[in-house]
Amino acid sequence: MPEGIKDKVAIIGMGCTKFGELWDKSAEDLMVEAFQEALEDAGIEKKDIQAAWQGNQFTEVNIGHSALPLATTLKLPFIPVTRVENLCASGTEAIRGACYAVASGACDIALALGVEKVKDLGFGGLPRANEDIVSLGTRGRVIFPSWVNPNPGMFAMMAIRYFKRYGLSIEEGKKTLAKISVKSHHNGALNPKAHLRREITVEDVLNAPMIAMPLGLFDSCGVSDGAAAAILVRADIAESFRPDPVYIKALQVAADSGESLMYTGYDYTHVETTYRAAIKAYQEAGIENPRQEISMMEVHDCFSITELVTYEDLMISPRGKAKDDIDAGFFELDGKIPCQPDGGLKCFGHPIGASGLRMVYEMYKQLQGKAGPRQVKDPRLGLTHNLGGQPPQSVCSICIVGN
Amino acid sequence: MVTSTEKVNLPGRLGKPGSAQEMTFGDGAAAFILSNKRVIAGLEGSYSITRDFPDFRRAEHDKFVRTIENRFVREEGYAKFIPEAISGLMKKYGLDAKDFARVAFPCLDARQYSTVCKNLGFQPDQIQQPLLGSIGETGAASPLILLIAMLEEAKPGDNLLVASYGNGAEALFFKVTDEITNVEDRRWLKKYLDRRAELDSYEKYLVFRNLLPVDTGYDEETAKTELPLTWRERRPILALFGSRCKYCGTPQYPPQRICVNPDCGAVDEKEDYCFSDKRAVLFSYTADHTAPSLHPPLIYGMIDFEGGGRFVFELTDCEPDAIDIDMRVEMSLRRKYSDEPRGIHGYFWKAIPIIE
Repeated sequence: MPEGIKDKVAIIGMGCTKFGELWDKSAEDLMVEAFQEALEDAGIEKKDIQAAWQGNQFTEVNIGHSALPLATTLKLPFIPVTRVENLCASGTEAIRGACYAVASGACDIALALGVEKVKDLGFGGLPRANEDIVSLGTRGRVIFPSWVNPNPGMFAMMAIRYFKRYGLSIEEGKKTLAKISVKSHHNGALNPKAHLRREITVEDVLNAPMIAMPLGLFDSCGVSDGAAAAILVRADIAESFRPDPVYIKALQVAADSGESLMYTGYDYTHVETTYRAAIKAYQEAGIENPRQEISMMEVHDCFSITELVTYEDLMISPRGKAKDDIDAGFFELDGKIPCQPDGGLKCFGHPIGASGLRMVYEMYKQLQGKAGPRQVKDPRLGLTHNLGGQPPQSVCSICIVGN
Repeated sequence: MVTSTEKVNLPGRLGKPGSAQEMTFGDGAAAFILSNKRVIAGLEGSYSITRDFPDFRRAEHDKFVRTIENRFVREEGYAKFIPEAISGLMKKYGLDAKDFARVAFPCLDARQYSTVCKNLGFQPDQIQQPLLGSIGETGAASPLILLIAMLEEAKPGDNLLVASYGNGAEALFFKVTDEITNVEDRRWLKKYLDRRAELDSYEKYLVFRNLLPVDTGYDEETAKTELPLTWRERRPILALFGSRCKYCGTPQYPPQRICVNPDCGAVDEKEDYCFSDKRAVLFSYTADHTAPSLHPPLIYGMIDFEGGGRFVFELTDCEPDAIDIDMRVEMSLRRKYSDEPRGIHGYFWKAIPIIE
């Protein structure tokens, strides 16, 4: 069992733009904004940064390949700059690059920045398959049913299977999912940087137009523009920058092996990659009882069903019992483990490459006591869960941070 | 293999909205395998006449089929050419109406059809129902589809008479052999008639026929088909060939060089495995309102094949409220997408409910 990176790397500065339909901002604007906030927060100068990682999925939309867009926009002085992508988990992947570089001693200070500018597409939703954008690969276009955007349907099928397995009618299941979105909207309404800041009711969710049965409009996050950044340093020098650095306790990734899609062993009522990444992350962080030890979390609520099964995959709720915890308010802002205190993907928004970083941004601010009306009481450990792809073919990154 | 098809679509054989042809034209296709082994019906004889008769025509630029007065078509064409071909055949082989178990030919109008049969001396129980009300008049495919309908009911020793109509007429007759009793499932046509559903929206009909442009919710660009890929993967795509691991026996689709079984993982131990004839069960499903479709929502599901193997496929010939987990399905080769600008029509397999 490798040593892991617990307490070897610290975050000393973070920045995050407002997320939303930012018609009047270019990708460059967003990169600069997030970066400047992170620099100021860290109290360092640009020349101190020794390496950078750019997280971004849809390079085709106004960004471009390689990490040259980042390097040339920020005018980074001929340092190593790398673009990373793991679908929606790209943000955490950028942190991972910076984190491992610092932990290995290859550099002392590194930047991770995620950015996405998908609203430049000109129509709603994720980019569809055209000449350039073929996220399922060129064969996927020929054989996959929803080659244009598989996400809603593939997650919807998990909901259908989950409801059936645990004896929930479609109505009961939808109501349970609705509570998740209602909870996130309540938190988002308290967050000035969030895209959607309106409270909603369970009725609103149930009456919303259908996206992919049984998931409706309010069960699904939208897509947004935005950027977020983090500056990472070696843990042993972190306190020379600020009195309250946030330490990385664990950072683990698990990618699907193919068996969930093509082998009948998968039950389609959970996400195996989340579960495997969580086991490794808890091991790395030395966490034995996540339900007791995790103070708060930001999970990948691309769809309400994703958040629901994630409670179980993270071994917070027992299998099949997430509904009980939801009904008891366990994950509300004033609950035992607040989930999505910043509004989540659902309300804060989902600029794909930036989301993983935005999640850490919230955990970071919470640990430093700077979350204002959303402040969680005395947080010790925050967990972020960033999921790319869809069941049964996904890649999951989990990052645990603490003070 | 012989196939005969007729498709009603631009720029195919389309009746103008409001015309009688719009009401009667139907899509259809029939395919036969010709051989001298395991013959179920032997071609015994034929007789053709050719007439340059201007009843239906369409120039390259025509959207719709052109025709002329039905009385002219019937009296000068249909009611003359078909009897001429059929009686020509009977005379050539020294047969008459009573020697045939069944007769069929394209039906432009039900009354004309039975009049021609009666005038040729056929009894009501010999006349094949022309299916005008259930599949319509299927043009070039019509005679062979009707032949299949006759073969579904035929007994060894039956003589079946079928004629075509178009710029003349051609009559063929077949003798059914004992081999037909060895065919397990003869519901070649019935299988499709059983899953018939009514289209109750004229607007939808116009959309399906490309007569009404419709907003599919995204821009019109279509991803390029990678032709070297579709050539290389023609068996997995067109014949639904996956692989089975010789080591652990797990069937998998698409074919995998490294076995997907987490307890196996054998490399290059794969053999061909055909999924197209395997029945399956629906493991999960959804109805997707955001996926592009001419008939939204797009329905698809995770299919578990009998004998092993799982993949995600589109579902068709069903409506969302009639689907549930554990529903039994079989696979059907269908048109999956049309890249109109590049003239590429992609075919792939979809799952359809099994109707016993």
